[in-house]
Amino acid sequence: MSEATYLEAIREALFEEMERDENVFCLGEDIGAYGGAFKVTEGLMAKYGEQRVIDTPISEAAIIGAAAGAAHMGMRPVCEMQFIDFISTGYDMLTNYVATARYRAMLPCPMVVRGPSGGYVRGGPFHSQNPEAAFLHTPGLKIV
Amino acid sequence: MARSGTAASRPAKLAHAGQSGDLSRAQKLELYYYMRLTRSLEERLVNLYRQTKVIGGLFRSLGQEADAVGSAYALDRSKGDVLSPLIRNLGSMLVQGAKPNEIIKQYMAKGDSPTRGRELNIHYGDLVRGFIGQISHLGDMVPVMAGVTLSFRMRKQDRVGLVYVGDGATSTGAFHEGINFAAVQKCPLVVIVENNGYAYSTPLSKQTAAKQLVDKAIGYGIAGERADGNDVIASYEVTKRAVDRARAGGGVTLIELVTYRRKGHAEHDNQSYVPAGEIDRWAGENDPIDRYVKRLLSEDFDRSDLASVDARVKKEIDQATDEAEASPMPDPTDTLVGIYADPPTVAPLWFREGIKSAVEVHERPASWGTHDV
Ligand SMILES: Cc1ncc(C[n+]2csc(CCOP(=O)(O)OP(=O)(O)O)c2C)c(N)n1
Ligand SMILES: [Mg+2]
Repeated sequence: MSEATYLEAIREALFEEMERDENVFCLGEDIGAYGGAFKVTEGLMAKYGEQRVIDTPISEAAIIGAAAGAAHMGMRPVCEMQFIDFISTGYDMLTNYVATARYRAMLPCPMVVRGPSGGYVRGGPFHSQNPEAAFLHTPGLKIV
Repeated sequence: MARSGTAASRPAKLAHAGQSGDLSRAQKLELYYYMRLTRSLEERLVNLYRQTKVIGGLFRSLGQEADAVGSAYALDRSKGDVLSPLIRNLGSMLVQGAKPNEIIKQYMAKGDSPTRGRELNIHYGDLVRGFIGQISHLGDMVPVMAGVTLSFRMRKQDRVGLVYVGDGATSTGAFHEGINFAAVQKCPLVVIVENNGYAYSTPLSKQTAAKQLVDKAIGYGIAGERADGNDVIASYEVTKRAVDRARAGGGVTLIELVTYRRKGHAEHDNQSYVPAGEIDRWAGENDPIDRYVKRLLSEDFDRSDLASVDARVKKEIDQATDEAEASPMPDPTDTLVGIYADPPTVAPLWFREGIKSAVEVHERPASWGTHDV
C-alpha cells in the first residue's frame, strides 16, 4: 500500500472525483492559482479551470450558502475553509440552512465542507481549533 | 418615528408609471388574478387564524401584492427560472404555480402539507415549479440563490434566478456576502429589495444610513434600479429588464421596489409604533389593487371582466379551505424520518405525484458511484 499524507489523499480524491463527475467543483479562498493555504487543491485549477475551481471572496457564509444552492440543482460542491476555525462565520448557513434542507423541504443538499483543523502549525488560538464536536449536535450533518 | 423623506412616510412618487406595452390582454388580467388571489387567500387565512386553526404566526402582504406578483411575472417559467420568496411574497409563489390548498395546509401544519407539518406558513418550495423554500434566518437565501444561479452559469443553462429580501434583511451579513459573491461571479441573479418601510417595528432610518437602498448596488459594482412597488406594471417592467440583462450574461441587478407594509409584522402586532395617519394614507392613496383596477378600467376592460376573476378566486379559495380543513394532522412517526439521504428517501409528496422529485433526479444517478458501496 502506498503511503500518503492526509493532505495528499484529499487532493488525490478531489482529482479523482472531478475527473469522474463533472458536477463536482471546488470553491474557497485562494484555492485556485495558489492551490490553497495548505496546497490541497494545488494543480486543480490548471487542470479543470477557474469555472470548476472557484476563488471566492472572504465570505464563509456565501461559500457554504452558494454550495447549498448549487447542490440543490444537482451539483456536487466541495467547499474549503481556509482554516476550519473560520467555519464559525458560516455556522448559521451550515446548521440552519444546509443541515435542515432535506428534512424541512425535501431539498437535496449533497455537499462537502472541509478544512484543516487542529494545532501544530503554531497558529495561535484562531488557527488551531477543533470545532467539529460542536457540529455533532446538528442533525443533518455528517462529520468525518 | 420614520424620518421624513423615508419610504414609509409618504406614498412613493417615483419616476414614471409602467407602460405595459408587451403584455397581452390575457396577461394583464392574469396579473389582476394573482394580486386578487394573494389578497383574498390571506384574508381567508386571517379567518382561519382567528378560529385558532392556523399554527404559528400569520404574515400579511396587504398593500404589497403588486411588487411580488409583478416581479415574479417577469421570470420565464418555460425556461425554468427559479425564485426564492420571503414571507411577504406569497404572490410570487402563486405566479410560479403554488396552489391555495398547499398554502392553507402549510399554515394549518397539516400532515399532507408540502412540508408535512415540519415547516409552517409559506416556507416550502418545489424545484420543479421553480421556487425554493426560505428559512427564517434573514438574508440566507441570497447566498443560496447565488449558488443556484452559479449552477445555471456553469452548466450554460439559459435560466435566471430571483431572490427577495426585505429592507431589514439588507443589513445582514448573508445579504452582503451573497450579493457580492454573485456579483463577482456574474451570476444571472436578480435581487429584489422590497422596501416596505419597516422591519418588524424598526423603520428604515434605523436600519441604514443610506439615502435609498438602491444605492447599495454601487458598492457591489452591479446594476441598480428603483421602482414603484405598488404599480404592478412598473414592478414587472423593471424586473423584466433585469431578467433580460441576467439572461444575456450581464450579471446581477439590485432592484429596490418601494412599497408599504399596511399590516403589522404579523397578525399579533398592534403597530403602535407607526405614526398616526400613515397607514390610512397608503390605503387611501396607494393601494396596488385599487390602482391597477383603475388602470384596467381605463383601458379596454370592464367591471364584468374583473368580477369573473373575483368569482374564480373565491371558488378556488373555498375549495382549498374545505380540502385543507379535511386534511389530517401529521403522523407523529413521520417526525424522525428523512433527515439524511440514507435510509432511502420518504415517498414523493402528494402535490407532485407523478413528477420525479428533485431527490430522485439528483441523487443516486448512475454516476454517483462511490456512495452506496
Ligand atoms: C437573522 C434574523 N434575525 C432576526 C429575525 C427575526 N425577524 C423576522 S422578520 C424580521 C423583520 C424583517 O424585516 P424586513 O427584512 O424589512 O422584511 P419585512 O418583514 O418587512 O417583509 C425580523 C427581525 C430573523 N428572521 N432572522
Ligand atoms: Mg421591511
